[in-house]
Amino acid sequence: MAQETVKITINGKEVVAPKGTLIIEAAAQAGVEIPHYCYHPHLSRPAVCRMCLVDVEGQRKLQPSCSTPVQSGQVIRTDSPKVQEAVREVLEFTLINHPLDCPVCDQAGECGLQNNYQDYGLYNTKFTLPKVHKAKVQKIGPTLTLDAERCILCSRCVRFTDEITKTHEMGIMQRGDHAEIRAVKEVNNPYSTNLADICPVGALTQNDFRFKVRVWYLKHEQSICPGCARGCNIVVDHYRGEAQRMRPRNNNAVNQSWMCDDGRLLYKAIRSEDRLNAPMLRKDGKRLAVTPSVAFSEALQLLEKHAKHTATQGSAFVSNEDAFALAMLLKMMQAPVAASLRESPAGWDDDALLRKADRTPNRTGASAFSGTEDFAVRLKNATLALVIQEDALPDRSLYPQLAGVIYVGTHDCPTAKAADVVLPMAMWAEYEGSFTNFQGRVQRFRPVVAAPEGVVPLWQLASRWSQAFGGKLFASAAEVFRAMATEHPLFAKMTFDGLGELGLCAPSTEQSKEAQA
Amino acid sequence: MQLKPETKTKIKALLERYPQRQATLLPVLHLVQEDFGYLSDEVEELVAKELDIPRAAVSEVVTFYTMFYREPIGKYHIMACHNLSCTLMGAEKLIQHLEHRLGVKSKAPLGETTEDRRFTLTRVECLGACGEAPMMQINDKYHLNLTIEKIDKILEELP
Ligand code: SF4
Ligand code: SF4
Ligand code: FES
Ligand code: FES
Repeated sequence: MAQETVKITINGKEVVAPKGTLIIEAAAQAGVEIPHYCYHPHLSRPAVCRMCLVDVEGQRKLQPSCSTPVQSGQVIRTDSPKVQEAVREVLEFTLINHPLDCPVCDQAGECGLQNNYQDYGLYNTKFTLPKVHKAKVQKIGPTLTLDAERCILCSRCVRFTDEITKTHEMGIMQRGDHAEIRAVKEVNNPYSTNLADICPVGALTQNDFRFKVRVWYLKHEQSICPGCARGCNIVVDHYRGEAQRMRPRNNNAVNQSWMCDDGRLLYKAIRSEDRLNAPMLRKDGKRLAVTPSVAFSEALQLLEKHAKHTATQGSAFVSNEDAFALAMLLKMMQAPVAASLRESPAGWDDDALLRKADRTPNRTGASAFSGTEDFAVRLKNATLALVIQEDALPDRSLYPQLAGVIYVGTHDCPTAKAADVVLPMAMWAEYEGSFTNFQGRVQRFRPVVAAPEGVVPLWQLASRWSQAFGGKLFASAAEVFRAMATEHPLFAKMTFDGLGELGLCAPSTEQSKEAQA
Repeated sequence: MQLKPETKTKIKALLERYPQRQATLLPVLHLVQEDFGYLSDEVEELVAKELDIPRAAVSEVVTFYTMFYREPIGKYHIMACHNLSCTLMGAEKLIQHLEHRLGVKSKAPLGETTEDRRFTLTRVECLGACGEAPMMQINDKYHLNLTIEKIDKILEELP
């Protein structure tokens, strides 16, 4: 569908934008950033903060670029003295009653006021009257703290709770210089933490992150939330080798600019107590820690001995590359394909916004490389069980003919406790790979922190084992992906790098899902 | 706590008059304030429920306007103008007299209430009767061209 476009000029540069685009958006696409507070691409546009004023030739007054659509031939300036003066004055007004407690404010470093003041500030305040004080440090729900004094009344939080979650917790009370943001009830909707992201200042901050790290120490990595089949696009902020917080990253096709509260805390699993950090062998009912190479060859011996008689339980928690490399290993062993994937752990139902009842990140991808038969059925004729990530064999006494159990996973569980060989594997935040979400969108995650010493992703283990059966040793996730793309239509014509920041959909899948919806 | 059946009927009629439910808020809040004397959290919830709009939207309007009360006030609400014309005509002296006589402090947007809950003394801005300044409003009635003597008489004659 050809879209109608218009030609405009921004700061002397000619720009072509689709008809109906807002000036602020057209400017952003052309690399010109216009300061703003109330505008948000996924919320309504009340144009209340007046920070985004621009000069449109022929118009006597400055126009709010967040609510003025482009028009053919418009000549726009965002950098004229008139605009700069206006922005400076708006900021001056906004800051009249602001407490300026940056030194003790956890937003410092990523604050819209600080950032814009650098460029447009007045620096010497003209205001000498006492400031209006408002309520500070209010716990307005399990996830959020509100400091009303820092609020600049942009109303983003009000619009988010009105328009996105429709839970209506926030409101602006009083008027004039006493106008104050308030929660009229506990803010405990499942998407509450997004308020801390969209609040441009330090008024709404997230309890989980407050005062953990100053944000200028953080490094950032793009990733995918592993919390459910949605696969929200995220950024993981990390510091000194530890993940510190997760926040959503814009992907209109998947999660707009949001993520859910439960997903946001999943980084904690990386360092949780039940994490498997070292390989183990079970001897005389006891588990002994061993080196990775010892565990690796113990497992290999079992795989070689039982090859064809191995029953495998794969997992919808591992990456596409993991699932594919595992399938390749089984093929080389001449073992049956992995059993059908287990059902998702229970937790929540699909909701209207993001959350999917399927709490696994990669069912679509992993099921491409697993069979349809139940693991329990497979086990009946097997002498070796290979279990990936799932607690699928907590009671091996049901299968007396089993000579061995190998468990490869990230966290301890009854199956791991009963296994003969336990091999820890890297978690999503520790390696690079891709998940396929419920829409069939293949999305890349990147390594954020280092895996525990000697711990590697499943695809590496599988591909190393498969060498013993004459299989190919993959050197990188990209190489696995290349092989996978030639083998399975779900990944046809895709390349690892081609997935980019927003992922790709095999055309058939996205269309069919959308048609169903 | 519940809304009066008569009030509910009136609200129904109002709902038909406006294109959006939220637009009825102002007249509805006035009605309900008449019934309860002031708009407590509980009353705000009742109104929100009756109109089927978010509670926050009700609170926003109630707190925006000074003529909606968030706490109980006296039987007689004295609104003494202290804006320019009235001040030029001696309003400060009159307000001081009222404060003294009633034993309460005048304040904006809502002043103090006497212990017997008979009077609340609030300072207000221009009520548009500058020609007859100084003036005050008691409940719905304007009292103009005030003097100390006149004020004493008015207060004494109140039922
Ligand atoms: S709390 Fe933050 S998001 Fe909400 S109105 Fe104030 S500044 Fe805007
Ligand atoms: S909706 Fe799913 S993918 Fe998105 S943040 Fe929540 S758990 Fe993660
Ligand atoms: S961003 Fe345009 S007025 Fe706030
Ligand atoms: S100043 Fe008092 S009525 Fe106008």
